Amino acid sequence: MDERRGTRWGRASVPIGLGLVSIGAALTAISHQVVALDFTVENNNANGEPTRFASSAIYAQNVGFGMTTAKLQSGTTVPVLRAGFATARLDGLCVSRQETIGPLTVTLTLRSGDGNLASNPSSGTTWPDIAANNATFDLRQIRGMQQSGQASNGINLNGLDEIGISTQDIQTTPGLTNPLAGPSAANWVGISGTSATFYSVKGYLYDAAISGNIALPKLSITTGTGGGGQCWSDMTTTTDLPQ
Amino acid sequence: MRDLGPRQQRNLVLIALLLFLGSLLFTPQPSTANGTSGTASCTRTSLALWNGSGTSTTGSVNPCVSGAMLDLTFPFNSTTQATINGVALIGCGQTVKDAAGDTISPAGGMCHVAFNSFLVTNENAAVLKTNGWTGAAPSPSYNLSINPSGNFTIGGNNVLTDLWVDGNSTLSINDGSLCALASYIELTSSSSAPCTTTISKYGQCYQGIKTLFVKVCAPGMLQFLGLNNFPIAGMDLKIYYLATHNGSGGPPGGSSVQLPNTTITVS
Repeated sequence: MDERRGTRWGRASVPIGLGLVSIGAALTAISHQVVALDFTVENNNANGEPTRFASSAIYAQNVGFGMTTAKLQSGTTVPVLRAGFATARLDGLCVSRQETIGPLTVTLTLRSGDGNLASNPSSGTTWPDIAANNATFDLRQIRGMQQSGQASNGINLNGLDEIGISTQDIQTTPGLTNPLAGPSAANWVGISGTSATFYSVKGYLYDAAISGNIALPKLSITTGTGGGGQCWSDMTTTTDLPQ
Repeated sequence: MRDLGPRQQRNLVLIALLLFLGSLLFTPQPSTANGTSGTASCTRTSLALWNGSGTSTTGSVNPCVSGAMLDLTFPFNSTTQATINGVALIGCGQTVKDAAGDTISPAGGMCHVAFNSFLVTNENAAVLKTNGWTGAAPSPSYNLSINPSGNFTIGGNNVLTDLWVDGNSTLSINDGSLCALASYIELTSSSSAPCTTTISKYGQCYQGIKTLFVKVCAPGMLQFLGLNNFPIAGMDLKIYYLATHNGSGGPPGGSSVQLPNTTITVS
């Protein structure tokens, strides 16, 4: 029997078309600020790490950090620090995910930002470029630092700050009960503030959910192989932060 | 259309799959951000806040306290590592309930202390950590640690910081006259206020927090000694609840919690 040769364009067109249409629709909706966004809960990758993220600055109102749990796709329940904001504006955003598929190390990276480090809204500069409402991030680790041109450093909470409250009692979204979905039991500890600024942020996250609108200027999504392309390689430096 | 080789075909399919997976990753889905699970009917405790004068209070908060203890520590060092302009022991033996309604019972009793202008000025080894939950599955145990490298603030200039802490918490002070005075008053006082730990080390002194606040922190004592603040050389504060405010229970101006170059880790 003759071996079938040549490219099966008909068959290949199905996943290609599906992928293009699907991602096109998603990006169109996101760029028009009409949708919510939810990065799904992921497993740790083969290297044992969740998704990496980075932002040059985050300004947020009605801020809370609370310990709670998240269930990974593997079924494993892990403790996470759930950060929630009623409103947030970001100077640049990068989210990257690396997986091993057979012999290949594939990196999927989302980047957004106008390239302008507008670190201090009170200075009269343009507000940071990315806006999001009612956001939560399930974190395994976060680090705040300072880079040249920024007004301040690290993680700052403003107003009446509380440490030691129960996660279920954190009010990041006025009018909503338990917006961080904290367990009703004791000992799930949280921190809350009237507002907060996070400078030169890097970290690992399991999940991000933005139920309000989000605007992502200059959005790009890239894939690469060979192990490069992650948002950052060293959590302790500010050299590779998005703006 | 031209034919592709096997490797190119594999790459083509891989790219198509990545496009599709990418679209799923960023496609709008039902969000958990506004989830309504959990409950607001947790037990609350009304906690009065220091107004900066004596042991008087003005205003209050009504939090649902988690019950987990957060341990703020940095090791003893002969140089001043933190300063507090004013302190007050509002009272010990206080009843604070956790979110489930059980009274929190630290070994040294529950004490309400308050700081004015609390600044950590020269410290690279501080950590605020908790192992808040050690329960069985399905809820996992967890550790949360906050590690600032360098100076940090929990309060700051002209901000009052109220803390509910284990009475066995300790502050070490590195001023000889302050230590001597504390020891002298402690030895001669007929007060029934409980004393905890007094340990000499490197010519400095550790004071159990009850002792320190009861014996030393009377209004005007710092001025009497010619000091502008308490020079803190080390601390081990076992915190159950902390609030920063402006003296009347309202929000202070500026950033009252500043954690530069800080890593927060869950494990």
